[in-house]
Amino acid sequence: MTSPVRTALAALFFLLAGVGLPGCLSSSDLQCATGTVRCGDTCVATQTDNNNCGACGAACSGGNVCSAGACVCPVGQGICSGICTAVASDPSNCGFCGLRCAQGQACNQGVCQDCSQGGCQTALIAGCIDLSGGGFLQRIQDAPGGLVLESPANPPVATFPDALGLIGTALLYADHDSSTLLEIPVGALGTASSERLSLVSDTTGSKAISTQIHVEAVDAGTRIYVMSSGVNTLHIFGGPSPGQAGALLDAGGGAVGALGLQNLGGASFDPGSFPEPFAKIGSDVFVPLNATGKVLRVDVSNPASATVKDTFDLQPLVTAAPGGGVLPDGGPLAASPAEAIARNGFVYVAANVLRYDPARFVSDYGPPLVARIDPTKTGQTAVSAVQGLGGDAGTCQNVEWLAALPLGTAAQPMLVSCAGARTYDESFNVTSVANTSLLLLNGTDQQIATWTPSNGGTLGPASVGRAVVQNTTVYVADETAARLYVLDYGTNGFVERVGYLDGGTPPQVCPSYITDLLVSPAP
Amino acid sequence: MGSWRWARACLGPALSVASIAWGQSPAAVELPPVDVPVPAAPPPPESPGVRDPTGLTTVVDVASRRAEVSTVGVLVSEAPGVVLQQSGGLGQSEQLTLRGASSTGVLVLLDGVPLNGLGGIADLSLVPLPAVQQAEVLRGGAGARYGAGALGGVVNLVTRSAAQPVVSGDVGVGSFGTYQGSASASGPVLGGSGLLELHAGHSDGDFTYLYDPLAGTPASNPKLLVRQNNQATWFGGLAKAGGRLGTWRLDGLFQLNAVSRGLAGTVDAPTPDAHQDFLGFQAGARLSRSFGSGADTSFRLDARREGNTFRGGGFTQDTRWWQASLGWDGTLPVGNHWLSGSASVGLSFADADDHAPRWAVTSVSVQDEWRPGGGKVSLVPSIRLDQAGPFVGVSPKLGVSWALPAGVTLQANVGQSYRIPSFLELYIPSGTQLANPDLQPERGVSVDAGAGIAGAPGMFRVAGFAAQYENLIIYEYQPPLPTRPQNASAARAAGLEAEGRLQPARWMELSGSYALLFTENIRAIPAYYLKEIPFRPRHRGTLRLAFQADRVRVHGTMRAQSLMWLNRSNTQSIAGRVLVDAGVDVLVLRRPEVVLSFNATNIGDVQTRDLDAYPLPGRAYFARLTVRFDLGRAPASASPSFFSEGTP
Repeated sequence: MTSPVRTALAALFFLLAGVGLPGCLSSSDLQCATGTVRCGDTCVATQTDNNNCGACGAACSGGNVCSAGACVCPVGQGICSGICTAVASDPSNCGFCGLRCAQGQACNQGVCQDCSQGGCQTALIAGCIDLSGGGFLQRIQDAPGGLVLESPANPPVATFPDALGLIGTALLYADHDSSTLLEIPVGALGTASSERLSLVSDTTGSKAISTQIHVEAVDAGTRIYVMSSGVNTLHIFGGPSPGQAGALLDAGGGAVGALGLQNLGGASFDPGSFPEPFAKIGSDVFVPLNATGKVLRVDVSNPASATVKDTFDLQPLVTAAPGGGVLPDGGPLAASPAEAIARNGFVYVAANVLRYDPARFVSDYGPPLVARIDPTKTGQTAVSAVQGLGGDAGTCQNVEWLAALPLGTAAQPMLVSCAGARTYDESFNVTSVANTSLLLLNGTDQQIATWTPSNGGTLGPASVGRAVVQNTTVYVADETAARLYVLDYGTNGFVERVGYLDGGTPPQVCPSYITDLLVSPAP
Repeated sequence: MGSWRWARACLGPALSVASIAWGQSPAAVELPPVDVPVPAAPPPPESPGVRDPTGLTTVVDVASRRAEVSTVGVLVSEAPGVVLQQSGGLGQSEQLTLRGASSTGVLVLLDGVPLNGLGGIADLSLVPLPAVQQAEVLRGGAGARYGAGALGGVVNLVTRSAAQPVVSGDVGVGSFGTYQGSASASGPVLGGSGLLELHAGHSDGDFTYLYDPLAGTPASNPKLLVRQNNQATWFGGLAKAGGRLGTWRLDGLFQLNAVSRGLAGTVDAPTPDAHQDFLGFQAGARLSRSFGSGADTSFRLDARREGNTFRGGGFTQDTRWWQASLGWDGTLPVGNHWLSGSASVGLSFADADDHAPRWAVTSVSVQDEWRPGGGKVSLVPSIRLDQAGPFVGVSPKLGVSWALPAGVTLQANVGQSYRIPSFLELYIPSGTQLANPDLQPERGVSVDAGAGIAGAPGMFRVAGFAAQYENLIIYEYQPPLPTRPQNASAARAAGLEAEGRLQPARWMELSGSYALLFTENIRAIPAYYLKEIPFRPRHRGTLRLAFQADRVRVHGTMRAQSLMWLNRSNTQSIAGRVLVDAGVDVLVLRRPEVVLSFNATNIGDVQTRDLDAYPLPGRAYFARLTVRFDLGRAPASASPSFFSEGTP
């Protein structure tokens, strides 16, 4: 039988099946598809149907939505008086249940503010690298009409930031070439810092290449942790409280003051271990060592004498993963942890699983790996892997970033950035990206949503990088061409608000690369 | 009289940083040589004295001080304006900067053949010390006669002479597991002269260094770490021969060098498994003739091949590089003009994994050494046209010298040079470094003026210079991508240079040099603008004092330099340092000449660093035994010795 004939018969069969045959079936003959059950005369997906959640007729109320067969609040909302409430934007429950904003104020990012003068829209600050090796700070406004890029600014003594952090309205800026920590008022990003703290010593020689600035409140001030991966060092500084910081930098008359940071010490790691952004639980930091595949637990309660308390090896998780830790050609895969975050009382570690090929200067990637470390346990018994990332369809490889969603619920969801398997041409331009996606995991680490970046334009395929969350909005940096995608998420997963899907174009916020991205406070 | 003689008369022997030798000792004076001296051969056309007679040149006597140092680079860096950047440990890479120009802008030649490799940098650690007789350091842009690549100047390394009938050898042992030895024989052969030299050595390079990334904080915890994977093993040889062919002279050379070494990496990111294997050879022949009129001409055929294999450290690459050239040099006296010219054609090609760039190279240059009046003044315009692949450049220069009474000489030069991007920069990705085929040549303009005085007790010379380098090629770090070379930088440099030698008595010699260097980055990025260029110390000086009795010579050398910046923001630095070396040479026997040498380097055990903050070894010791059979000479005490073979 020739192919056209076979095609015509198949079309006829499906025409009959779709139009004619249903009318011939009785209700008792109804056959439901996999994933649905029969409720009366219809088939429903009880895992997601709000009116039949978990069972026929079990309707969700109080703003709950059906997820995995249970009624829960939509992602981004918490429960106030039994009702799902968006505490980030509800003026009657702004930031906390029952906190009512005064008349004339709106709830902006969980804070009651007068928005009549503007400033209530979300602003981001990106660290940018330009094409000639310099760089700048780029503020981006997420205005009602779309993303607006302000004029680039940069302190005159700086090249480009390796990492950014905030103490109130004071921006901490880890400068690349000078390997120093600068202090910039959020309201004047082009201002020279009057204080400059070195992130390297006279016995090192590399650039600091800082990958994280972590600020936490302690007593009446703050403690600032700067992870300088290039010199294998975690620096710890003491600083003012977030409320004081802005005033300290505003010395009046256009002059810039100083935060008066104190160098408290820190921790150093083995040369060549390349420590990455860490997670902190209690007085311990959990430091991923990219080059060794291990995570160290370090007690930093005394910054002058940090001590290593435990070591966790991620390689056994690679061996236990699908494929047995080897590539189809038999080559071994290794774990290269890239970032750790604290979430729901655990430490989660994003880890590349790869085989680096020095001859081609590219890597072959294995399955995705997010490790979970239970801080109440010691040694390898504390380590396990989050299962089922990317599902069976293989939508996720090369996990590089994680983000916990600050939603006020007991079990925070988590975003997992899968940078994907990239291929390059001879000039190292990305030619393809496979299995790149952003995964949303619920509080029990079940994957509940997936977003794959849309592609278009002339900038080549996107690769999902770090994600920054504000309320129910996710800002996703593109690793390939420094584009910024914007997603809204809710009961139906992610909705791409800024991207290529609707014929638009995500803005390229940096000419070359986004080194860091954070939500900016109002100046 | 050839132009080189004019040049020598003009510049004088005062430019030589020589040293006293056994033959000059008081005892030696009582027993004058009876041997027939070997006539000094005229310098080859590539010698700065011939090719750039008004250029400011320092001649470093390598052969007579071979026992004092471990590498050629250390001696070359005694010339003012030169800064040596070492990677730490014997056998590890060494680069030169000159007058603020980067290592890619310093043209290094071995007997006139460029050593600057695939990346445009000459690694002086690959030059075998036993094979070198002297180094001629020409400061300032020298593209007009030496061609592209000489933005900051030229270093011409001259291999040992084959003329003296000598058999010699040495063995040595030193700190950090270092062993080395060499053997050579030279003299008349088949109606001409020949030389065969072989050498080999090894160093573990496992010295200790200070590491404390939290120094200066309450968590400071200084540690002494041992440098790992810093070992090197090397061997090689040199064969030369020359003789008459009727009215012509034919000279040939073959030089082989191999190095296998670990690449330790930076202190912050050591590379315990990185390794390099290098194999290079150079072969050449020259046919030359001098005419009664003073004219001379020579034809030269050269070939050079280098192979490098890199493994480990997240990087693997095999590169092969060949270059071959056929050149002509000639001089013609016309009245009070000495016209000289050169022309060459050649091929240069590389093979690096999937990349095989190749191009033809041609050049032509002319120079007029015009000596109006009584010949005291020389006015020397010159110009050179170079073509390499798609690049064509013109390098003009004007120099003047004035010989005043009492051995005083004045010199001044202005010129323009350029550097063609290297194969590596243009076409061959290398680890994290991409290539960029759109690169354009670098360009430099320089001007200098100097004055010198030379006489019986010694010499002194001072010079000032200014230079501007534009379109400089730099590799910029652009995470997460590898770096890519770009024509994105520019710099200015200016400074003063002084050198001198004083020999108040036959048994004592004092020599030294000093360079004051101002550099500034004129790239239009605020964080860098007008900042000093990294790895260019503002002050650098060398002082050497030597005493010699009948059988004992004692020498000490102080090498000092001020702070140098590690980064373009001028926030990271390597502190100023004073390194002191000292040694003693004992003449155990006169015939055969047996010398026992003992040297201590970095006596103060200064913890310091150099290129890319690689740590340098602390205090180290080295002992060497040298045996020399002087064939065809009578009284041993009078013979030119191991120490004097490099003296003119």
